[in-house]
This record gives sequence, C-alpha cells and structure tokens, in this order.
Amino acid sequence: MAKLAGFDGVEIHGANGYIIDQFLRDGSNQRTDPYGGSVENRMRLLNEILDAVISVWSSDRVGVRLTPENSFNSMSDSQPQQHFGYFIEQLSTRQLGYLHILQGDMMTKVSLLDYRALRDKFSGSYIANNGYDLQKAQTALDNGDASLVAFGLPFLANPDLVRRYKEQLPLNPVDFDTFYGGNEIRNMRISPVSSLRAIKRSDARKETQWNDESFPSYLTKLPRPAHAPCLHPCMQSR
Amino acid sequence: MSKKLFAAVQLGSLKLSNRMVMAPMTRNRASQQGLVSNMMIEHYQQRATAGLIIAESSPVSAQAVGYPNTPGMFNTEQAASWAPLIESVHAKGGHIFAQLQHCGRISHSSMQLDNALPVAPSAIKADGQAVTYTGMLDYQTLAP
Repeated sequence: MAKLAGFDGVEIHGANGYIIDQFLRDGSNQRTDPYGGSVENRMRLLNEILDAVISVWSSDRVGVRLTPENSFNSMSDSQPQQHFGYFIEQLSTRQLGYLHILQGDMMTKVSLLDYRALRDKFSGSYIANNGYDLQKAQTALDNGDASLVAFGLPFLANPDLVRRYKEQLPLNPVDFDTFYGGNEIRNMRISPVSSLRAIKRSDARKETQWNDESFPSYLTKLPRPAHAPCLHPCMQSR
Repeated sequence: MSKKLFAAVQLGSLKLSNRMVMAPMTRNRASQQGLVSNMMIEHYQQRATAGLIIAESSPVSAQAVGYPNTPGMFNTEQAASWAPLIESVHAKGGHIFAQLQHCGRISHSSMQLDNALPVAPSAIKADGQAVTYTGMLDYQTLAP
C-alpha cells in the first residue's frame, strides 16, 4: 500500500513497545516456540517482515527503528546492549536504507547504553534520535556518531526548523496542548521573520475531511504525556 | 560551526537535501477510517524542507490499530488518501517514508474488529491505559 501511495520508502517500526519490539525484548516475549527464547528466535518475526517488505521495496528504501532501552509501554530487556548488538549486526547484512535508533529511555530520561558501539555494528546510515538540538546534532555528525539526526518536538513547534537552525533564528516553544487531535492553530505559524499565516479556528475545522463526531475530543485535553522530555532545549526558548 | 547538518547526503538511491530528519510523531488527526485529513497534508507540507520526513505510524492492518484516528496503510482508500500528502511534500523537494506499525498488545478490544482481544507474543499485560474512542481504558491481558 505504501508503494501504491507514492512514498519514497518505508520504516519498519520495531520500537517503543509495539509488536515487533514486543517480540525482540524478553520482558514481553516469553514464548517457547521458534519466535521466542533465544535472540535468533526473538528476531524471527522482524526477519520475516523484512523478507516480505524487501520483496516489494529495494532494501535501500527500507529503514528500521529500534529503541533498545526505552521503557515506554512497559518494555524491558535483560541484556539490551548484547541483544541489540546482535539484532543490529544481523540488520547490517541486509543493505538497508538506514537504522534509526531512539537513544535512551523516554520515561526515565536516562541513557545507559553505549550507542556508539551499536552504531559501529551497522554498516549503513544511522539516524540518531532523542533530545537532539542543533549543537548536539552537529557534534554527533562531526564525531561520526550518526549519519543523520532526527528531531521530533522541535519539528512540531517549528515547521521551518531547517531554516531556523541554519540561520540561528529563535525557536518556538513546544505546545503540548496541540500535540494530539485537532488543535493545530498555534502550530500553523511559519516563522518569525516571514509573513505569519493565521488560520481562523473555524477555517481549520472546515478544512478537515473527517467526521467531527467520531473525533474523541478528550484527546486535546489529555494531560502532558509522561514520556515527553521536559528538558529539551526547544522548550526553554522564548 | 560545522555545516554538516545542512549538507546533502545520499541515502541509497535517494539524494536528501540535508541530514535533518523529521521524526515520526503520531498526532491522531486522521479519520476514524484511517484516512488522511487536510490538516495532515498541511502539517507535512510545512515541514518538507527536512531532508527526510518519517511519517507518523500507520497501522498495516485493522488488527494493527492501537490508537484513535491514526492514518491506515491497509486498504486502497487509505493509500489514495496519502497520495496528495506525498505529492505536496515532493513538490517542495522533500522526501517521505511511511512508518509501518502494528501495535500488538498496545491496543484495546474496542479498537479491534469484532471486539477481539489484541495480539502479542505473550500474555503479558502492559501497565497503564489504552487511548480509545471512549476514553482511557486499562490494557487487557491477552489470551496466550
């Protein structure tokens, strides 16, 4: 379907406690059949998925995202450095487009693993993620810790993040209230220097295609997600 | 300061304009049927200067769904709804990957076909609550 839609490639979501991650990490996988037990078995599902996806896409258009130590969604593993070292060595044999790693634990804000060691096991492009800002990203690239850097929160608040970093412009603060659901208004601003596009609330609602009644409005009022990295530099700028 | 972040980079057969990636972030703005909304098109198009955009998680089947209003990737209607979004990103010189998702146990029977229990490798319940159309509900213990 993704190819039909016209995407340039696909990323297999093997991270954050969803099904592939549930198989990879032994905190959630206690199977005794060929899909559980040893590292080889726990990786079996991911391998089968990759076999299938690479039959549709060329392998350089396929990426994989992993989170070796993220406890989000009740995840845990007995030996993440060793187990993910194995998974990444195996992935390295497939000529994938990239390996994308969320480094650290989003819940505890701690990062204990040696990510450079994991990165060095992968022969292709490595996308580093979690809490990066301009400075940290430049350093990571200069040190060879990553080939590319992924930014989450800063991109939500700043559509033109590339320009803002390049020209060292101030950043918009992150607005948690607009994360989920239909409250986009405040994130529609483009930049402080070019013309601001203010979209009236009523226009924004008209623009959506979906049926309003199905939208669970409580989503816009959810408390701040526990995993949001509160200390991210973009949240302190004003 | 080094300018590597803004330098073009070759990713396989793709030439990306810089080394900044927009991370995948679920925003629950698709329709209940998993169709892409105008607000989503606007959102991604605005950020198309990123070297690579990784789109928000798209469940690969009805069973893969775990959250409300996520854009699907399992029928042709959903694929067609992504096309204008992708075109708008390409029109600005950007590149975009889909993120293929299956939530496994991070779901709820109310989000599944025929209220079936979600699937997972083992019957180990996650702590916390699922985000559903009717409110936050405890995760369920699945059949082994």
